[in-house]
Amino acid sequence: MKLLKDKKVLFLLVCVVASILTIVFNGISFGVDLSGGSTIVLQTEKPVTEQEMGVITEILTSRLNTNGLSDVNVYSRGSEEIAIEIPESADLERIKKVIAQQGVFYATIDNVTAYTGKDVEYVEEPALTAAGYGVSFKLSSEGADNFANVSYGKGGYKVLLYLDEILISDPVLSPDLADGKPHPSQVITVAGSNPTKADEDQAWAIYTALKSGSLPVKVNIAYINSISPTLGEEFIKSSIIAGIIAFLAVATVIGIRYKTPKIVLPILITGASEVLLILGFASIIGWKLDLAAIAGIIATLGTSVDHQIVITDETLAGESKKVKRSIQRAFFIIFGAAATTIAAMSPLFLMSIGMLKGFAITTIAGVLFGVFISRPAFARIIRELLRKY
Amino acid sequence: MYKNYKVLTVIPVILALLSVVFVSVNGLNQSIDVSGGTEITVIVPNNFDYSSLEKQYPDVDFKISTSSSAQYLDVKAGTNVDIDELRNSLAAALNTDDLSKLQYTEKQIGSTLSSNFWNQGFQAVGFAFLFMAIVVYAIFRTPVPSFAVILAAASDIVIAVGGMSLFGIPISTSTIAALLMLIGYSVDTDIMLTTRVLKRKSDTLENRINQSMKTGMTMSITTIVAMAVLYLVVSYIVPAAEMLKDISIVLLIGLIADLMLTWVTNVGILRYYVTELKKSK
Repeated sequence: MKLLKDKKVLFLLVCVVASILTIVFNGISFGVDLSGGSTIVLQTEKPVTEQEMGVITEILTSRLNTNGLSDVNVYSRGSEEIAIEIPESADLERIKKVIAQQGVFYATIDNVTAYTGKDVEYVEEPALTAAGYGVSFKLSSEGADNFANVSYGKGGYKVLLYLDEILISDPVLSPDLADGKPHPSQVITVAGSNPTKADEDQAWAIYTALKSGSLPVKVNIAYINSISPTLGEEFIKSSIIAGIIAFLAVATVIGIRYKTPKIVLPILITGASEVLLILGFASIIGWKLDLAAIAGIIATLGTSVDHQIVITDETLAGESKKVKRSIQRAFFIIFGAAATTIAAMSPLFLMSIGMLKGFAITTIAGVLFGVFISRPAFARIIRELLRKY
Repeated sequence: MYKNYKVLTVIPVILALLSVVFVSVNGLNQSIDVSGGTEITVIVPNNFDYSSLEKQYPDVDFKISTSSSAQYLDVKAGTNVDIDELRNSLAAALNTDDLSKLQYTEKQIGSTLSSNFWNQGFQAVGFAFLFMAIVVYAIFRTPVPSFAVILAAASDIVIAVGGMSLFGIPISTSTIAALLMLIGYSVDTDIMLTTRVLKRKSDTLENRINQSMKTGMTMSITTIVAMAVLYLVVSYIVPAAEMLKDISIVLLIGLIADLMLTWVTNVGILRYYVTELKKSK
């Protein structure tokens, strides 16, 4: 009971309780590699300004929304990468087509530009039209006027429609439309009345490009990771099982070494409290736990147990008068080890290997919580318990 | 035996040097993180026959792994393979029109990102090592003991990489994470040993070393046992969570090497430093 009055022990208790409350009420979210869904990383052709990046993420979000995905998370990573997280099963082939196109659209007749994507005022979802399966859209009055001028007297010429420099359709201009009057309603057909899946994807890509506009630079798909939600659940479940079994194995080893629950239990409880602190921290900052973050938690737990063994052994070795110095030495070791671990993890921040950021964050957070919150409390507890031992 | 400790000290270092030679001859497996390409894992029915797929795609690597609850087909293809086509063939073989309806994971990495990854991964380990060395020197502020810690950590990483080469564990995001973790674990025991030997004044050198060994062995064995368990559990329950499996096996190799490096090499250098070098000054 005396322990509860100790400031360091109290501080640990308060932090653990706060973590548990945060986890219970705020919840923990899992990254798509654990819960299922897709992560896509796009790379821009060249570095872009912050402003352009804003435009890109906005357009990509609207493109994904246009294709029926609402809960997407699009964010930039540095000046060349855009990460997209889609937390549900999605038609990847269509998504890839839709997001990876720059979306620069224009139509020419006899080598003169008749209209561009900017002249498109309204687009309808792909459907069967009188001319076949395709996308109907309306030009602005300005665009329709320009089309009227360019097409005048060109009946029988082909209208060449380009998307990202690729010819997507080349209908023959009917003489009715070449009468010099504005005809704002246009159709791009991609197939006859029986479209295949590829035709549908193509039509949706055109629709999306017309609706959301073009990206300021070309982008390439650099990375895709897609996991079905059921498999994601398996991952979470098995990580927890693996964690518990590994924990029990550690308990057995230190049980054999110290042979008394007075030492073993505090080590295990302190280790577990550090995991709770990390999870609470992840919950507060809204960090999504992914497989890499789980690796970080395992690393922290390993270091935590190691350091508590150091504290325990120093406490056991110290003669009654010298315990204080022993503990000081234990903390010298622990601070040194913690500093080197943080030093070893810091390049992952400076260099943004995006996929390992979760790992670095959980490891560093775990080390800091350990050094400043849980290990000082553990030292007090073990000293108090060993006095009677 | 104590007379021979100087000879013993260099043995693990020689092992590390042999590792370097072995890695440079045998090479390292590259995951798609490094080489670019696509990896698909899908749960398949028992006795699923993929020989026709193998024939159709000679450049693609097919592998079946079995867990307690299901059988997984792991497909790895380089950037030269038409993935859409491969995906369609795979879907046809599994009687579905859409793979994403199955228990399925897919990871695809383009060639620019993967070449970046190689550079960045290499730099991450390099800088991590450099920063660690600076911190270690700042802690002890004496060249020889610091050098011993840094040498042990370096040999440890090199032997772990040698083990990766030997067992065909690919260099990937997860194994780079494991190597970084290994720096931390390796230095933990070394710092404990060095601090005990240099700062504790009351006991004899032999006693200080033996006490440290007791503590250090407990530290290492808990982690080794935890990693062995993790490896077995992941292999048995979810082979698809390859990341955790790779991390645990690399740490396992590194930690076992660390036992030798800490308690033979590092101890040897410290003993030489305390008994001969320091006295001669």
